[in-house]
Amino acid sequence: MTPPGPSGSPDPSLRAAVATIDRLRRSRAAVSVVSRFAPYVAGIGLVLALASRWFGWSWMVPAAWLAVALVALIAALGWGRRDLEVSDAAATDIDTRAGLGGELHSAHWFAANEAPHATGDEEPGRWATFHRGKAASRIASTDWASLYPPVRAAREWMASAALVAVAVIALVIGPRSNAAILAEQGLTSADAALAAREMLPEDIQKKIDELLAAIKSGELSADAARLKVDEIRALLDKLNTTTAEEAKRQAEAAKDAQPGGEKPNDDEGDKLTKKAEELADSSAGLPEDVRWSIDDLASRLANSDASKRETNKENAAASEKTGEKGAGSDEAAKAEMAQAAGMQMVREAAADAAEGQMMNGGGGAMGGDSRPGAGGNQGGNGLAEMAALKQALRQEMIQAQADLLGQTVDTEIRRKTEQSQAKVGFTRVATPTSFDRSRAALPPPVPEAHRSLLQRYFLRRQ
Amino acid sequence: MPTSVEQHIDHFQEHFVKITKEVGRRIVGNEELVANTVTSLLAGGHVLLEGIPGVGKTSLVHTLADVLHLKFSRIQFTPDLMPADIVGTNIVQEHAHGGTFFDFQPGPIFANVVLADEINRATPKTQSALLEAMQEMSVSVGKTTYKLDQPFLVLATQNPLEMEGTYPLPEAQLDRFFFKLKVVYPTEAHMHLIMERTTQATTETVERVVNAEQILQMRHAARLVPVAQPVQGYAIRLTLGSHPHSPYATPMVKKYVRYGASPRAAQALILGAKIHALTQGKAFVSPEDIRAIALPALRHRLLLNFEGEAEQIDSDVMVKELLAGVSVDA
Repeated sequence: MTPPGPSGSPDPSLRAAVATIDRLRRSRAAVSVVSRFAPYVAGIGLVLALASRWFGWSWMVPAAWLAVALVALIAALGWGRRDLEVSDAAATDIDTRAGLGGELHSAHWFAANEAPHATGDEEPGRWATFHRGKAASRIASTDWASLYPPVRAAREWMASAALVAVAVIALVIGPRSNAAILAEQGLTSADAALAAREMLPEDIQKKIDELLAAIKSGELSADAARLKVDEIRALLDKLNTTTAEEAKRQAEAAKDAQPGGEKPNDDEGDKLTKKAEELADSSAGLPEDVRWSIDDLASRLANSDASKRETNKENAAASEKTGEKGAGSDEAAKAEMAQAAGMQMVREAAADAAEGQMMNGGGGAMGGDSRPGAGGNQGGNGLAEMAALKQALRQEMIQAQADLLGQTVDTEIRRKTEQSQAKVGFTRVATPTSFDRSRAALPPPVPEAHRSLLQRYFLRRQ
Repeated sequence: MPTSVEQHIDHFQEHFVKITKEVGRRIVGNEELVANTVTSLLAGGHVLLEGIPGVGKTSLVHTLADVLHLKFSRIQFTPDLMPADIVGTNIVQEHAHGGTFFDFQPGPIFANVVLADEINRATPKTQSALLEAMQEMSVSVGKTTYKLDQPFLVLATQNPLEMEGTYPLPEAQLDRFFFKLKVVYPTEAHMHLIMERTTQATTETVERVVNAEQILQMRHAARLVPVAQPVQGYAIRLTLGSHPHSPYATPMVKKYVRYGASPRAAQALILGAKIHALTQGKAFVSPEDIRAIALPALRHRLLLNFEGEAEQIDSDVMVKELLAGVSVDA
């Protein structure tokens, strides 16, 4: 501490000493504030990191937040340490903290201003100088480091560092939503629903495989096979319903979840709705090849059962005659089953189309017509029927197309209109009543505020 | 005679302590009252003592005069007291060789310490004669003006209870008192001490510890204490805040005060704070010093409005609110 200046004159050294103390005070306060806020900032960074990971946002979002927050906290620390002119309020604060009883506050003012005195009177100046000198010595003897100790916020800093570390880890290995995963692969949720729909659940697939293997090997009786088929069909029906509902829900969700709260454009909306409706309404919600195979297998089992019963009848009649039990009937049934089991299901998963393709083998190992639904033992008649069916469907589609254009619709409406000529009469009409003027209430008075407006409205200018 | 600042402070502090200690030998308790009375003396102001009869107002003044080695006089104010009874009058005298002349007979006001007992019982005309002397420190009789001896201290007393047949002092005259001090009723412990000191065969005697010259030196030293402008600003804001239309006014002041303290109040605050600072051994004035003497300096300077009078608002409460409401920093 330098000695005070001449009698009554300002004393820059005292002001510099007070400014140093003030800077210490402000920097400690800034560190305290920053350390208090740092864990919250890091916590927000962690939340942003988790959200980014879950929703599939860019990693730049939490990174930018942490970077900006770090810069802001460093700026706050720097701001707290900047050089400032010490205000009276700051001097009072320092004085109070140090318990100097107003000496520093007063001396700080006298260090910048001359003591007021009458001309030629040196006494006030001497007193001011004495005051400053005493204040300077007290300032020098005060342990400011203990009054403004370094901010010990180890817990806050450690918590902040830990939160930032967790945020970085969460950015790399944090949980992700299905939507985020699909978005990364360039798929929409509707695509995902379709893909899921094309896939048979493992248990059903396993059951089908077991059934086919059993039929192939001839171990399974016709009744047992029928039961198995029914069971699989029930499972598939259940799956159908679930898948269709899920698809509908996802389509709805996809509609609502357009960015910015905007509805999808008409084309996209229609597409989604159409897809969902197809899924929900289609009686063949399952992959068609699976459905055909199951139906075909069921019909074959039914046929074999019927023929078996007929064969059994014949055999029973013959055995009645011969008295021998016809072992040939079981043989025939087995042969029939083996023929039916000749059908093989091959599922080929195409990488792009994700559709299954079914090939049905006909009478032998080489197979016949591999078209879906056209195979089996139908022969030439089956093909003819298919052609006729195709022609009929084509005709129907043409007619439907014509209806959509409006001709039929217009005709129908007009026809209905022409026929709608029913006469309606009123049989219970109340007798007319006379108007009693005395019971009529006066119209509500016009409010004063509206009077001028009404007058302007009704009284038109000539 | 002290030369350095440090000597001035030590000298002041030493004498102040001597006076208060010596007065305290006879006056039981009321240390603050004694200190404020001496402060007023050293500031060159006058004191209005308010208290019920028998609490030691007159004893205090008597003791102070004894301790200060000053000339003391007492005036008992009554409704028939005339101004001439206070200031003195010219009487016709005869020369030894014949002929007559007017000879001025000074009244009791010509003393260093004057006790104006029950000042509110005299008529306003008589009160004015005293208050004029208090303000001007001089008395004019006929065509001649007589200067009063320094130090000159008037200690006026008034009873707050018996208001019948009294002439309450007008606000303008109240303002001339540096401090208004309230003499409170002694506590039980203090009563024991009072009984022991006053009901025995011997009475406590006091020594004269300072003389007039020393008091004048102390007065000079008190005026040399420097006051920083922010601290002075605090005293000014307190004074301004006692006015109902001031931005510093508190809610109570706005509601109950008709007119606030005059600039004389700010002078009293600063001067009283300087003396208070010196008594603490400080060569500077702090806001704490101002707060310490704000109550006696401001309480009699707040003129209540009708609502305040009707609700018998205590001005002390308003001053305390003012101290709490006005910030030290501008």
